[in-house]
Amino acid sequence: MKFRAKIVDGACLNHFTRISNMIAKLAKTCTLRISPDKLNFILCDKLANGGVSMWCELEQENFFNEFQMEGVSAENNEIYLELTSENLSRALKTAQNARALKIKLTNKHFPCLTVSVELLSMSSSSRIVTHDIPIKVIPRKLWKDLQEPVVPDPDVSIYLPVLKTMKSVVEKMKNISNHLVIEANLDGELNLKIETELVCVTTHFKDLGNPPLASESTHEDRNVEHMAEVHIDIRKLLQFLAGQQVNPTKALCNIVNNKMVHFDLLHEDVSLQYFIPALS
Amino acid sequence: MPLLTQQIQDEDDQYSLVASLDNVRNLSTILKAIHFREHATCFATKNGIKVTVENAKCVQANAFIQAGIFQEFKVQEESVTFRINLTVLLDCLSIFGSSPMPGTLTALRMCYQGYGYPLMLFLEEGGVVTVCKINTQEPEETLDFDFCSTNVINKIILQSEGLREAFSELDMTSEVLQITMSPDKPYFRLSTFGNAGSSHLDYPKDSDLMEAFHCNQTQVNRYKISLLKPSTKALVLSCKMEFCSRHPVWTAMAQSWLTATSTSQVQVIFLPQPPKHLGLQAPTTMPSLIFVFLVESRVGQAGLGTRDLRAP
Repeated sequence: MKFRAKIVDGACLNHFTRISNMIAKLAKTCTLRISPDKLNFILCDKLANGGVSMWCELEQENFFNEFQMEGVSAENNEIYLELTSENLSRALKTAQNARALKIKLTNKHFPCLTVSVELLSMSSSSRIVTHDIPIKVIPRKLWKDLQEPVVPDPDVSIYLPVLKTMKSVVEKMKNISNHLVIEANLDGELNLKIETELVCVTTHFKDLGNPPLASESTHEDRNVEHMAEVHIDIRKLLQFLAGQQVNPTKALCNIVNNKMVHFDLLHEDVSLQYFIPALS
Repeated sequence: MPLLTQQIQDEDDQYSLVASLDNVRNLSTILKAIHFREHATCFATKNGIKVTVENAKCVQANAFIQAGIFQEFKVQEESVTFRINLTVLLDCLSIFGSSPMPGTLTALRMCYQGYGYPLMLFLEEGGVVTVCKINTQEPEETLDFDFCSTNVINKIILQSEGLREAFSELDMTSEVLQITMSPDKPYFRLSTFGNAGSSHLDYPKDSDLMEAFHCNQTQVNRYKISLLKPSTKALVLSCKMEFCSRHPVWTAMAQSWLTATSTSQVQVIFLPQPPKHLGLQAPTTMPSLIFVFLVESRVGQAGLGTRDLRAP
């Protein structure tokens, strides 16, 4: 197993750092999957995560100008590593104005992902800061649980409003209730509702727009105002929203009635999918 | 407020109380100042709303929000009273975030249908509307204080900025805060008696911070320092603080506050500790001390006067 990659472009480095910060906010521990053309940050829907799952994908050639990898074997040319997300984002913090960033798989008493940052110092000679992030190599037999999740056919697909507003509202709602209902229809309306014996609060977002339906013919007769809804844990929604520091390029919300809500975001060229299941 | 005006214009008759504000912060700031207990009693007449929070019959905080602050204010009945969870109310009023985003205002419309109905709040910011329905409860009996100006023994008004530091530095190991008001030296003194010793803070009557000084007799009263906590929130938000001690004559209720449309008033009433050596039980035989805080809100300044809440 081998992995070596290098970023020299400042903009790519900043983008990679932002992605890493977002992952750190979304998942404490996650899986990093390295393949010849992509890098994925994966969180699979174990009970420990409360059923939440995440799939983040980026094309390596959009970031790295050098990228070499050799997987477990020739037929399985992939590497799956488990790491603490915060370790990576903390290491990248030192790479703010770096000249170059190198990442490689090493074995220093234990397997590590070594991040070395080349910084320019005042005397124009460079300084190198090295971080060794401990990782666990995930054996091949567990790979099947870490595959790209199948996106079920949503009942409603809608574009999300400004995430900052959504986050402010959900943050306040969390003080009142532990769970909320997210509902949307094909008329561009999305509602967040909480209800306790003391109070009911509903926030209405309008004119959001819906993407064109995948299968137009089968849904022709459906009432556009009919709401699809899901009852979810408020903290999971808040954790997802808190991770989005920058407004995404594209943000889509898919609701499968009473089953789950799926968020499909695009941060420039990096795609993020986040699944929150319904409360039982 | 285009989104909200298309509502209930003709349905207004069904509501006992309807109030609209262009900037909800004008209301939430004042209510935060008295938020030291979970529940509050709201009392509305056509002159405005009074929100009361009480602690163990020793401290009562009142926020007076005048009708003039609202863009629309209608009270159908003589008076409307209900008890509500203040924590939930504040959470709802700040649903779009506690810290204001520059340039955005959250509009509020508040409707109450009457006894047994929930309080409805409609908040709007940037086209997004939040509707809150908060259940109301049976109003509780609150202590009524008589505020005729003839009962005033001593009254001192100070600028809050001079007091904030003093209050934040009060020696909390002292059980009481002793307030001395006198026509002679030391004029106005705050004293604590803590583990490290006693400390006295004097404000001379010709101090720059002194806005008004009317003392007829020397009075020294002690108040439980732990009960002062609620007033520090109000102090932080206010521009002036009034210390007023009155004879306790419990006759008909007469609330008064300043009619300046720019200021709303938060009033905290403390019943003092009877001196131990007298062994008195009932604090109501002692003159009560009233702290009055004036909280500025963002509308333009107007003259000051007094007006009776209950005036027909």
